[in-house]
Amino acid sequence: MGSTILSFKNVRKAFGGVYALSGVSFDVEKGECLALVGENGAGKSTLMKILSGVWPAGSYEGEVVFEGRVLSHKNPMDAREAGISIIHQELCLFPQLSVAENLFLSEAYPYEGKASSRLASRVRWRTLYEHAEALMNDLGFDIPVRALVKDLSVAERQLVEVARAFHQNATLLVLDEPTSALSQAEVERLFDVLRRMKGKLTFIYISHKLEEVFALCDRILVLRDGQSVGMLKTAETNTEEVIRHMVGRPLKLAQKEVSLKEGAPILSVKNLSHYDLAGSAKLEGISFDLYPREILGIAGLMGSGRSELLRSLIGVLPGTRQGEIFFQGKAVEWNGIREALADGVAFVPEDRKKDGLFLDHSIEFNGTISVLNKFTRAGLLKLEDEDRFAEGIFEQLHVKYADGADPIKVLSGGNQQKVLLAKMVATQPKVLLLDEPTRGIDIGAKEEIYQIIRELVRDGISVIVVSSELPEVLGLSDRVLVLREGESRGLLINQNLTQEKVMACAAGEA
Amino acid sequence: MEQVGVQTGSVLESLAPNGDKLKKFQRFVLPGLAVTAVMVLFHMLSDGTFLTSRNLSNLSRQICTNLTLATGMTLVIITAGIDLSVGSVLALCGMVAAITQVQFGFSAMGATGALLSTGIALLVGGLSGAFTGFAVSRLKITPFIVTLGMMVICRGLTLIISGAQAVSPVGDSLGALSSQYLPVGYSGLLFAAVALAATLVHWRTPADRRSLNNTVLICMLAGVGALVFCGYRGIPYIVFLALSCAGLAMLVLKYTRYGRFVYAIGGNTEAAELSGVPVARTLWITYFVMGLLAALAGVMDVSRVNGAVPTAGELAELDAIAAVVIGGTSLMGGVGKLSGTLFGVLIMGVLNNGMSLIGVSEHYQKVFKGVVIILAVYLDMRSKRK
Repeated sequence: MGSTILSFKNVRKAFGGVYALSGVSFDVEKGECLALVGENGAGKSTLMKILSGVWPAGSYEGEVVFEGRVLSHKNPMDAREAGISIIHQELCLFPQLSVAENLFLSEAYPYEGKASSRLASRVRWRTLYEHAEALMNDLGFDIPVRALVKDLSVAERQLVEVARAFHQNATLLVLDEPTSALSQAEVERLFDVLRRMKGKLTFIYISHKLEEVFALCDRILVLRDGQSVGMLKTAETNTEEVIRHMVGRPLKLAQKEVSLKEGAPILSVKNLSHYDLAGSAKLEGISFDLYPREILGIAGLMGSGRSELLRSLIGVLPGTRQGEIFFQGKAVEWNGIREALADGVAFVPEDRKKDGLFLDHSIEFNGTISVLNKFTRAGLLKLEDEDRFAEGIFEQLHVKYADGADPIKVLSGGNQQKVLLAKMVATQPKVLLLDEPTRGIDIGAKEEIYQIIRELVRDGISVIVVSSELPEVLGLSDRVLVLREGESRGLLINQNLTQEKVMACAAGEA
Repeated sequence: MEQVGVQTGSVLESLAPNGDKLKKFQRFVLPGLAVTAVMVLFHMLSDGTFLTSRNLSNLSRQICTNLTLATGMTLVIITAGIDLSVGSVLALCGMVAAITQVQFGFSAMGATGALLSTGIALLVGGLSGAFTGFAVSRLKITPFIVTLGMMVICRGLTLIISGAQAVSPVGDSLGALSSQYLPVGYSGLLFAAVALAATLVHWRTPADRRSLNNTVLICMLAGVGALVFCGYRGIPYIVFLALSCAGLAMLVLKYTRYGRFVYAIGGNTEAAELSGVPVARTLWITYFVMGLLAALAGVMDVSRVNGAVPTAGELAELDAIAAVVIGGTSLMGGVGKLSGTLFGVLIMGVLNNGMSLIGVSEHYQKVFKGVVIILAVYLDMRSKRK
């Protein structure tokens, strides 16, 4: 291995007396790919914020040495100039501008062959595109530089970010959960690029997905409760060991006990198609049954119509729906969540922040908004009844919180997700539609959510769960509906089912 | 004088406790002290006229239209909307009321006539609000655009039905709304009842829900109200009406599902929709209520000036919005309180009245008011952030 490019020396950072980092030390070798793993709240984001200059030098204890010099960033701009580039989960591109403009915008457009940062300089469009094309060719990316970023796929956008970082002479590139929105094929493509660039650049790769970490990284740094608890060589360790370090306790991946359901289906979908406003098919001819107390998993690659299926069912997907839906034997035409809820079908959307939470409001507000009628007497809310109800439902769903009046923001991602579940379980549904119920939450919280889902099923609820994570689908479902490009590719019984079999089906080989 | 105010502030600040309490102090106590200091300043510069029962009673009558508009505007802004048409709707409804009084002969019908005129004005305001609500919630046109259109439409209608002429005088019964007072005895009883009710409610509420500060504040306000209004003829009916609307809206926001939905929609429309909140209906009701309140404000205005002019309520929408944002309600929606709006309306009223009293010219008044709006919102933002 080469020389050390970055080292943290007993770094500590406190927020109002609570240490988010309480002693982190590690070295990163030049040219390696270091994975950074840990549950939510382990300190990953704080660590990254120190590196990227969001928390300036002096706001933390300890020392960070980058390329032989003690880090003295005052702001993110300093960090970028020093050669540290961070690709965030939410991409920082300008969707209305072209790829080429995005590549050069943060510094300057080429002017007279050279870069100029004068605001009034005339943009040399041809030069701009030539530069951009040259850069893309160098990196071997096949992305049209004149295309607008909004027209690119998420994976392509990710590559644009990588190219931009490379162009800015980054020597250290931090990737924060880069694959959370990518399909398997796209992940492979990104990994190819990263492997090729290893050596030229040093990577810190943050991910919840351990398979990816093992596929890509040389070493794994595990953080737990604000401390660095282990530096493992990928070649000499395994998933169980990493997880053990992360959670501080051995974790058994529960094997699903599959029981095939009998009797009349509670929900029947026959030949469901959905056309978007432009008239192109999002879903085509999908049929399936959901039996009482069944968990039906829906798997498929990005863009296969997984989330669209759930949204189409309850009538919140723009466009027109065709086909028949029978709920408890009766034909239904839900045109919105309110109609679905009235029949006993609840939906938890995938994007917690955007579609789920009221971030300005309290935990209780978030938990009871769908069932306020339960404690309305003569048109007035009985606030004490609401408190009692909220306590009950939060306890049922194992939400960990101090006070229901606290803002929902103070909860961890896992607990926020549980509140969202509580909000819908409070409506006493017969069928629960879950879209990515564990996105972006840590392993411990995931296991808790799985447990909650199983408890709900035991209490008589049927569940459809959409997930991009196959272990999740296989760990939960009785049967798995595999989608590909809006069509059903198979309804598999979860017996001796493997990730490979599902993937083969989803990718169209079977 | 200014300097004394500043010094008092910093001394108190050094005495104030840290953390949450400091935040509360900065957000609630400091502005209160600042307003008090300004009022004392006005009092001294006006040779002792500002802080008299008579003047404060007048002040309270002057701010009624703005309080009524700002009450509705608070609801609208919490849903992340805006209503620019309220000034024009006020003018239109006021004009309708005045025309029914003068041309339909309602002025001769006493209280019945006044009620009829008010009813017709409310009908017009309700229709206008219902249309705005329909366009916002069903046609999904941005509130800014819809209400901008309605602002121009209603002003035009006002000019058409009035022939661009002032219409006056209205009957004594309608005028009584602003010129008559609830007798001193009853007024005193009312304030005592408010204080007593607040104490009782406090006593009956479980310990973890009640706030001693709020109860004490309500009792103090009742005391101040008693001092002001019982010292000069009693509570003006118009003030009683405006405060009732604001108080009712406050209770609605806190104790009804509709209130919750208003906050939910402003906080995150997408999430509200997916939580089963009746988004369209809630928005529709909100703009409808705003229309009714604008009509009521129109009637108040007619009653106060004893007639209607086609230019009534010009820029009233901006005064209302200013009061709401000074009160700490975010234009982004989702957060806000009517108690804050009440404070904002008071500040605007104190500035208007005080500056007129000490002879500051109209032109300078505008400049001062603008500065205060920007400064107040900036300070509020800062105190929330840290």
